[in-house]
Amino acid sequence: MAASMNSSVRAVPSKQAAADIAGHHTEIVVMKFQDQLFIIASQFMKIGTVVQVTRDVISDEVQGHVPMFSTKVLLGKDEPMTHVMAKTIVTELNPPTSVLLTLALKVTTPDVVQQVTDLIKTCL
Amino acid sequence: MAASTETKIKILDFSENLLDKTVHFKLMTLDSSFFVWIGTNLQLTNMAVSMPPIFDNTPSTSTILGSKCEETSASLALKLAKKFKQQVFVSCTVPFDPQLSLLIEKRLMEELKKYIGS
Repeated sequence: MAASMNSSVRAVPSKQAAADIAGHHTEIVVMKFQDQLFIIASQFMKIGTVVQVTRDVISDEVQGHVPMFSTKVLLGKDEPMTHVMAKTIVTELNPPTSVLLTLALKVTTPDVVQQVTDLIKTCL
Repeated sequence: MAASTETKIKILDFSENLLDKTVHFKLMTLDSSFFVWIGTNLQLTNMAVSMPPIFDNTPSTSTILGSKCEETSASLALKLAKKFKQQVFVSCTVPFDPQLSLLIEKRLMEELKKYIGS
């Protein structure tokens, strides 16, 4: 009954990368679900704060379609910095779907966030 | 550009035919926590998190994404947190069927035992 299928066929594609950013081992995992992206950015090797980033497209007659992202902290520190980081990262990635982003960063300087974003881009 | 190093987070994918349905599994093991996704459709519609118990025997569980009426993910997260004494994230999107749930749990335990030392 429980016949094993070919396990090399992956239903949900995922990619991962790791790098040394500002002296901290940083890991990225991106899972592409049909309805959303699941992105893990971690320097603690833990899930940490979970933020849901949804995409709302605002039709503006002057600028055309401007993507806007709203953030909602589902688990963890609900502080302005978390929202800022999540919005910065997702706006730069500009994915077609909404994103579930998990952040567990030791350093939250703009430079580090930029490097993390670049690392996520290699996994998209 | 940051120099790339080896990844420590392990991801495991497998699919199983259970009761004429193809059920996909995705496991991700992190540092003293893990993530489980189980689905027949390839979506991430709900997620529950459970923390291992410290003082009493019941882990605390919360649904962080999706409908709170949907108990499958939450109950599975609770069971796993109790068993493995780790923080667990569970996303389970399979149609409700007690028999199917049982088979899924059995298969999942088999695989988790290999990867996570209890």
